[in-house]
Amino acid sequence: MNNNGDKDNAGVDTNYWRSFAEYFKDDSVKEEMKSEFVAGAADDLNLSEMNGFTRRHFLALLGTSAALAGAGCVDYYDQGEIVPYNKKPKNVIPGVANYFASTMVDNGEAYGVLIKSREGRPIKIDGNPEHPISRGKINSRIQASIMGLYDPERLQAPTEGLGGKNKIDWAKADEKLATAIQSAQEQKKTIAIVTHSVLSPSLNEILNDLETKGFKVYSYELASGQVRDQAWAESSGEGAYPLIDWSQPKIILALESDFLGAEGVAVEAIRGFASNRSALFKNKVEQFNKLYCVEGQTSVTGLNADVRVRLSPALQVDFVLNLILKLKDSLAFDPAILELASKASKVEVPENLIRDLIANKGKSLVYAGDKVSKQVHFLVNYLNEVLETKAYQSGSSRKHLRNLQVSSDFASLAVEMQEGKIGVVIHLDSNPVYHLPKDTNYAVGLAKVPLTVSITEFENETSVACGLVLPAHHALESWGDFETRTGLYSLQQPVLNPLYKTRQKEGVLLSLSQGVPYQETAYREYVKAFAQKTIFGKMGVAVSFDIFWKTALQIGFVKLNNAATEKKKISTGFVSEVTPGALPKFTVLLASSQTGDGRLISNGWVQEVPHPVSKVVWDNYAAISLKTASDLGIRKYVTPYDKNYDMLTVEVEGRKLTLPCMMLPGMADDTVVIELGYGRKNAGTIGMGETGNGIGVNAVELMSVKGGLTPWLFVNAKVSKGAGSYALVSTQEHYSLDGEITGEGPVGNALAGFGADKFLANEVAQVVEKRGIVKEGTIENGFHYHRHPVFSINDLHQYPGYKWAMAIDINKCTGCNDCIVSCNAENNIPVVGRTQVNKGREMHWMRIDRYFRGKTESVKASFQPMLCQHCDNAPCENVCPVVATSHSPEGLNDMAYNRCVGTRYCANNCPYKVRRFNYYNFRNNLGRKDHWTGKGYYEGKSVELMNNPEVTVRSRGVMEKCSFCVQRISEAKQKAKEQGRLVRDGDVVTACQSACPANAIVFGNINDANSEIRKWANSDLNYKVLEELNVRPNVNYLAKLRYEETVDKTDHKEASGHH
Amino acid sequence: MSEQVKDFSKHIPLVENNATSAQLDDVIAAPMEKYPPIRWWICFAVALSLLGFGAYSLIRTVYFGIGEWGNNNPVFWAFDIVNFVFWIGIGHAGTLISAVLFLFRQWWRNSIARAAEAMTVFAVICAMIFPIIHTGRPWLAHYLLPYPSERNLWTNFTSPLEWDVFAVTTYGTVSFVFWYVGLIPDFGVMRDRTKITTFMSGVRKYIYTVLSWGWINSNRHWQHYERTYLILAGFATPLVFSVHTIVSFDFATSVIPGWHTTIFPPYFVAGAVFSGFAMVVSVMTIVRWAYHLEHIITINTLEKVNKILMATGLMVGYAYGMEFFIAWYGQNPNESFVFYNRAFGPNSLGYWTMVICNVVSPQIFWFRKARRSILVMSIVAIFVNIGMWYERYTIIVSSLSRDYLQSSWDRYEFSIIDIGLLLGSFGLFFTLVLLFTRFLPVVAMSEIKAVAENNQPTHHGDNH
Repeated sequence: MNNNGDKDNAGVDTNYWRSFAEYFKDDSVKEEMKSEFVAGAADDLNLSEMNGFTRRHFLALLGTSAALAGAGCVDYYDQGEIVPYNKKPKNVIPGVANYFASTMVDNGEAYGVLIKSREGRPIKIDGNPEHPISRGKINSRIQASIMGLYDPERLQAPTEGLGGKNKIDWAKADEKLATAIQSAQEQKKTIAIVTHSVLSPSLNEILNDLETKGFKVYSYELASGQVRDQAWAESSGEGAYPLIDWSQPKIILALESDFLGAEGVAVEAIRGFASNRSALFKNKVEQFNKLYCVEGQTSVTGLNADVRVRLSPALQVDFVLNLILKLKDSLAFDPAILELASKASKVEVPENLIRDLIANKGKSLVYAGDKVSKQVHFLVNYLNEVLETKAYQSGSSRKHLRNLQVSSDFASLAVEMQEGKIGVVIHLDSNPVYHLPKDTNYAVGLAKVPLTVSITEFENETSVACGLVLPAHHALESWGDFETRTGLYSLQQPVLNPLYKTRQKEGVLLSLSQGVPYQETAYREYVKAFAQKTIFGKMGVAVSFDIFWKTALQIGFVKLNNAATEKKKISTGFVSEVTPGALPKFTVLLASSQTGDGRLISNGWVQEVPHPVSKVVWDNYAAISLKTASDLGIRKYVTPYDKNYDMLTVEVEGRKLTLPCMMLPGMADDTVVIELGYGRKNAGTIGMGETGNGIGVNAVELMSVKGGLTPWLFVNAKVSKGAGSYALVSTQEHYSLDGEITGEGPVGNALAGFGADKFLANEVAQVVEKRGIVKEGTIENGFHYHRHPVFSINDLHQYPGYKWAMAIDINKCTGCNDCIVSCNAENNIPVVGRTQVNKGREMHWMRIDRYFRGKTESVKASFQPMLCQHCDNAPCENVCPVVATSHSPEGLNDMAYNRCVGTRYCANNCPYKVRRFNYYNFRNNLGRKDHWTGKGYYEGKSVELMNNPEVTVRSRGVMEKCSFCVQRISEAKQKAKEQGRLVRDGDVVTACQSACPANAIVFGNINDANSEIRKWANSDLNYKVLEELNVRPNVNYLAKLRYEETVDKTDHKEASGHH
Repeated sequence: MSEQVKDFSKHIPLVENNATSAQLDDVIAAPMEKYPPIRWWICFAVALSLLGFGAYSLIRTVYFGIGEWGNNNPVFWAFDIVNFVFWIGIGHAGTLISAVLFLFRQWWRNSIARAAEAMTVFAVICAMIFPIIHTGRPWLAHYLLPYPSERNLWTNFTSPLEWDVFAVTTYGTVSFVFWYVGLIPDFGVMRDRTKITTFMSGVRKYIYTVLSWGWINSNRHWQHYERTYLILAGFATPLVFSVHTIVSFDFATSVIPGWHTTIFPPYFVAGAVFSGFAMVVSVMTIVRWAYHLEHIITINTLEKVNKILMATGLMVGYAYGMEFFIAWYGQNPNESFVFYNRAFGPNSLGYWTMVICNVVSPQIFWFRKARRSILVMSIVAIFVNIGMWYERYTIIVSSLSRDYLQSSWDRYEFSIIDIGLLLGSFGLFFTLVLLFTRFLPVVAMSEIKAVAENNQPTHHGDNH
């Protein structure tokens, strides 16, 4: 049909034509056909080439001026004006997250993190999968610390005057500081820098330099492994206690150590510990390790123990000596030690412990906690040597850049302050006024110093006592480098521009050390140069430093090879120091808290995560045993209708503290355990609690310069019932303890005299037993669970494509709560506050159910993470009148928030009670003082930037619950589709799974025959909670295995789950 | 006298004092034609105050959220649904009296049917408020209606709450129509009785005229009327049983121990009739005294009501016992625990209040003297209403607060706003009742004349 053969028709199909010009192949048409759009429709906008004032010219100017007018109002610090996305930043694709490797510090350790950032704002912190400490997992405190970045009460400008009254600009602050330092140097006065553990080698370099210029550095931690390190240094001559490979020992004996909880690097310990607790199938059960705990507190570690011995922390020396005595026939001990051991007071040592230690020489580890005395550590070091432990890591070891100071050092600093020998005190993100014992007189001394400076993110007890407060960058805005272990060099990089007029805290010191004005980039250049000098130089790699640096930043850390250190011999010279103890009347242990050392007291996520043992939120308390409670005349039963706990007065050498006391099963008698890190006095709106008087009580009040057995352990305290009572708020009621249910109701009380209480206790105990929510088997005999076949006249619904399911191994779960905070951050879960939790309205989509069993003294526990089970026959779905919750074709139980009217029927009909209702607009409810006109703490504030844009923010009146991280499933499916494949196993990682340091959670497509989830679902240990209801849940649990010998037949009739 | 008692075939007059038609009209119409006495105003003020408290509580609830109530995580339903079921139950007596007893030719019903029906309508109004305001977002409550939506959204017909929507609206509509149809001849009477002397009496006459739909008391009207009334009675009768059955499905079809039982439908219906009759006694004893209707709402009639009260009380008591028996016999640990917990757990006070009020207190009606004592029956009726409220409280709150997983168990404590809404619903109910006694005939004039001995056509042609 193309008749004009003389014309070139390449590229143009003339079957259809638009114009004669096209038909006859005009050249201009050919030119036009090259580009898809007609001229002017899609050319790059180039104003200079345009003639005159065109329409596009006008629009471009209009748009630009509007953008500039808007952006010009926001003067980001030192960054000039920012025009949002007039030209799109190179690496930012709207809707696609960027991930940055960085490092964050918690409790004296630097963890590699991966920060998820959306459109330039960080929204979630996870572990860096490559980082040797984190291995992709990060603890709840670091997860929650992202809230600190966006906290509305972050300090935003320098202030002067006590209490931070007057805002000043940086120029004035610089001048003030420089003048004070100059005059101090002229008068030969010391300039003290008070900081926490120095983990950064470049900061250490700066400090070293400053120390040559009349500065003196003091570093401290509220709680640390200081005592263990000292003991190790003294008995082996080496600097730091070796790193422990927790996956190596088969037998672990923990002495008053909460290594799976609040002490040390729990993420690493849990990972190693749980890796030896996998038993999918019976033939793998030999891998099981065995944890013995000897402790006075009821720690989360103790509740994970296979065998737990209650013992006053003051008697640990005697316990170890008794153990040595029992082992002496099988192992070779120094005679001096044996003689010492014979003097020890008698303490019961479990027979199976002795047997296991002898049988597992080289495969065992004895580990004493942070808080026990040096003597115990001496003995433990020696015992490990005799037991030939191989759990000490040989390659890398802990590196202390600077030794920590002790309270007495600060006491002498305070004396110097009072004598006028100190010119300036600079608090580098530290809070000694709160952390140090009162009798250091630190606060008194501080008042005598001409200029006190606090470089901090938030107002704290020290900053209000300082004359100059300099706001610091959040970790996500900072540069940094960290070296906490030999050969591991972790890097910190900012993931966003500083939100406020804050400064890099190390940079402030750098400017002092170099004597030049502060520059935002100076510290970055310093870190870079330092790395070039110390790391790059050593590595001798064949790339340029720039490439090395960029790669290192991308990965987040640099690993250097270490020569394996030779193990030093443990000396027995400590014998003279060890004196066996006697049972004191009252022992007081100040324990570490999973909420940290008080820094995170204003972090709602941290405070609202239930304590792993007591499930108490927003408070601390004195934990005592039931027997001690009745000795002291303290009411034993606290009913859900009357949660007022009696007060307890604890007096140590005249230092008094009155606080609510909670009876915890498993506590040693005559022992009081109080957690540190509460009772802040200047901690912002949230940190001061709903009453404004603070959250909990400050256990530092009991500490002193002299200390007890250790700074945190005291004997012969005076303990008595205090006046009044206080309601502690918990997410799980106290009466979950079997058989404790009677005597709570008026009728139950009235009938108790006729023996009805015993009858009912028995009935209730049986009911609890028969429910089989947590099913158990034994390691020797396995798990026998008879699943009754379900008959149905209907065919089951088929899920031909993906079918999402989860499995949770209860053997691995230690109850650490990291999954909860990860879920909170991923799913925009609001903080509801203490009052609302008290009313039972907590919003966590995920919870760790803790079930005690056995007797109150020899208590055992099981932890069961509980979340929406995404039942195939979901009872919630059929009762929703508006179909707001329904099943997806992939087996997910979905919520349509828009459609939900909030009848709450779904939540009533959920047998797992995992649905959460927005009783208020909880996003804006926290801290709301006046109901009608008041504003919530977070209302309309920067915290809203933290929300994950992939997850709907729920308003009030709407039901919500775990979605199996459906946004992550969608993302993985989209990616798979782009690549033309199916979602592979491991593509979808839920937030809880990604945070679980124990790797106790797997998630995936159960229709995939090769998937991990399928393997777990087919496990011999698999069961589903409340399976008998035939709701067909999609969360599988692996039954808890216990050693046969630890199963108490009297309290535990159906250990293997027969019924 | 003794001969009379022994002679069971002896006809007991339904209207005493040989009242004539005119006298009956006068006494029934009196409250509508006279300025209300001071005690009416006092009652009205109290009822309005309660209603105001309820309105305040309602405003707070809608403005701030359900968090104003005591509801929490395991106890997602509490006073809201307790009140709903309670009021729906109260609404059962009216239809039962006017429809079921009508079909069974129990003419003693005529003196109390009108008031009972009015109470039904008012109770259903009170009840319908709660499902609407108990939602987290009441402004979206229309999502529960299956209206054609451009978003192609439809309601879930498997949800018992959706069944409730139909059951309750149907019941409300039929009850209202039935009540209104019964009122038409009386509106005619009132229209004719009202003389225009003032402007307001003109308005009054106008309203009565409109409402009476041109009723002229003709034979033809009566014929149509009786047929309609009979058909409506037939309509309403199954509803008496269906509504509370469906309300009970809210619980019975769930998986929650203490809710998931097959006994609920008959148990709920018996309970509803029980509470409804108790409310009839409570209101009627006051109305007959306040408006001097002792000869119309006779002791004999009230005695019959009390007999039903006792019978349904025994049914409810049987259900309580049977629940425990099945819990034990079924050996389902979750189920048996719920019942132990009801009787001896933290909510046991409510449970025993319920047993004493509902099972023990009506036993006094075994005695004829008690059945015929206004004081005794008033006290028992109040007891039964308290007991029936606690029954729903026990079922809903104690079951929810401790279901399957002990980890989620929690207590329930009501808030002042919960109290406000409960009292507010009583305020609304009594406000409506008081207005009803003021503007509508509390006794069906036409029906009562039909059973008044003095007004029957006799073959003697005299007034014997």
